[in-house]
Amino acid sequence: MERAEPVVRLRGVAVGPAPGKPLLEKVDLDVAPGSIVAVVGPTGAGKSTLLRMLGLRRAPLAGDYLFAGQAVTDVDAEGKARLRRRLGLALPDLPWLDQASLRDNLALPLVVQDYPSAETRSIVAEFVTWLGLGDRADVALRDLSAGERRLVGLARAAVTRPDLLLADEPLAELDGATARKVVRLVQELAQLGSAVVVASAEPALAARFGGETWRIDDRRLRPADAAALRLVG
Amino acid sequence: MTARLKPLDRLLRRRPLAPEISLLAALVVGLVPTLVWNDLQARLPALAVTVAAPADAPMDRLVAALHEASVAAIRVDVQPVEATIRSDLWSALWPELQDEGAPPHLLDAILWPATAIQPETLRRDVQAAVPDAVVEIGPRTEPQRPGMMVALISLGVGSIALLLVRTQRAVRRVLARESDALTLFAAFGARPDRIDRTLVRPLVTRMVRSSALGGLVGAAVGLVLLSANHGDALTTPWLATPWLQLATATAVALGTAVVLVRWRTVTLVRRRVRSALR
Repeated sequence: MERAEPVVRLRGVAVGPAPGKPLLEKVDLDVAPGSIVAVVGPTGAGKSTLLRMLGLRRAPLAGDYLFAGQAVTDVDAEGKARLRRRLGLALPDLPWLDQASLRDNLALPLVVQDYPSAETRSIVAEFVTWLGLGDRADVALRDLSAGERRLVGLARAAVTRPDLLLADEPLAELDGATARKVVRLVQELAQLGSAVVVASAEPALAARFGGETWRIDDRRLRPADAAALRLVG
Repeated sequence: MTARLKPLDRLLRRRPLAPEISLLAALVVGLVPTLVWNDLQARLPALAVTVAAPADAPMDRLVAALHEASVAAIRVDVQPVEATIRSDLWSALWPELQDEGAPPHLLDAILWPATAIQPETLRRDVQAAVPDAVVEIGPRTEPQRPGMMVALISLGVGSIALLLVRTQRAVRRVLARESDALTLFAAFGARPDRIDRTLVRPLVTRMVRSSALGGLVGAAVGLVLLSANHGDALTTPWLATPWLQLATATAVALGTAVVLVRWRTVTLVRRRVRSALR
């Protein structure tokens, strides 16, 4: 059977805060549609920086990043905008419209991508129900708890059914039941064909998503020992 | 039930105007009529008129006649020469006539601008009212007031500089407030033209509107103050040219303020957008 073209292909990629200061080097990684990849590593190892690079919020310091077969460094602003429309970002550095309601925050990616209003309303209603926050849909986002905001952040990343979902510590600050809900959402998205990359400092949390796990070790990204992870989990 | 989505303007809590930009534009444009007026006064010559009349001629009639004959001038300063000076002058010039009676009336007048007055007509009109009056008319250069001009020009230049600096700060403040929206728009894949339509143009429009509104108010206040101080000016036919100059200068100042604010706003916003889309 012919393998699907990877959504993400990294070859010899280096990422870091500034040129000459790489946190990760020589990263080779393929993420196929419908697969879940968990990146684990200690705090400060470069997980979030890697996710930001994958989310086109930071350029790689070296190497090639192909998103959906297209080298991201070769595209202009218009082309980057087109690629970004295929991304779902649940990253902590992505801001909120704090004074706007939960509903409006969820709708923003759809509004930006010119979805028809009726479809936007329907998708937002579906996600508000999924969140279980129907009674607080019109509450300003600043009035939600940190955990609720994290959950809304994941929903906001998923509303457009992206080709690539990037989630940084998606299970942090969540209770058991809510965490299970998040895992289910991520797995459902993967079943629908989205590629998913999650990052977590906790290998056990990362393992809950059930995909392949990669570990950052000594500035390199390597496939993790599955057996060891199962023991930790 | 599905609730209505709020328009972006409400989500971003935009205010329609930037008040400090309006205020500064008003100051800049309001100063222009005063500057131009002062310049006109310095450039256009005045007439010095001296009127002598017999001591028995009614002084108030002489003054009234001079005013009536000078109605075309914007500024008419009539000063009766003081009695002591008049007496000294009389005795110095015609000592032998001192005993023949009181010295004649003397009026010194400055009429501005000279272009508004026909000297012969003035002389004829005054003499028609007071037949024995002797009227001397000569050119007079309006004393320059360099101190005031320098102060006004400095104020104008300072205000324009302040307008630019404040524009920069106002744009940065607004951008800081809308920075989250811009980041989100870029991250969610908004096309550059969509960002332009949703974030850039409203901001530019707001700043331009603020400067235009402020400039118009400033221009109106400046012109009204001038016309209040020179009440006859609006009714005087020759004034078409100076008032046209004032109006043109004011329009140019208004345009300049708007263009400067627009240029600075566009530069700053585009720079920020480019960095977000990189």
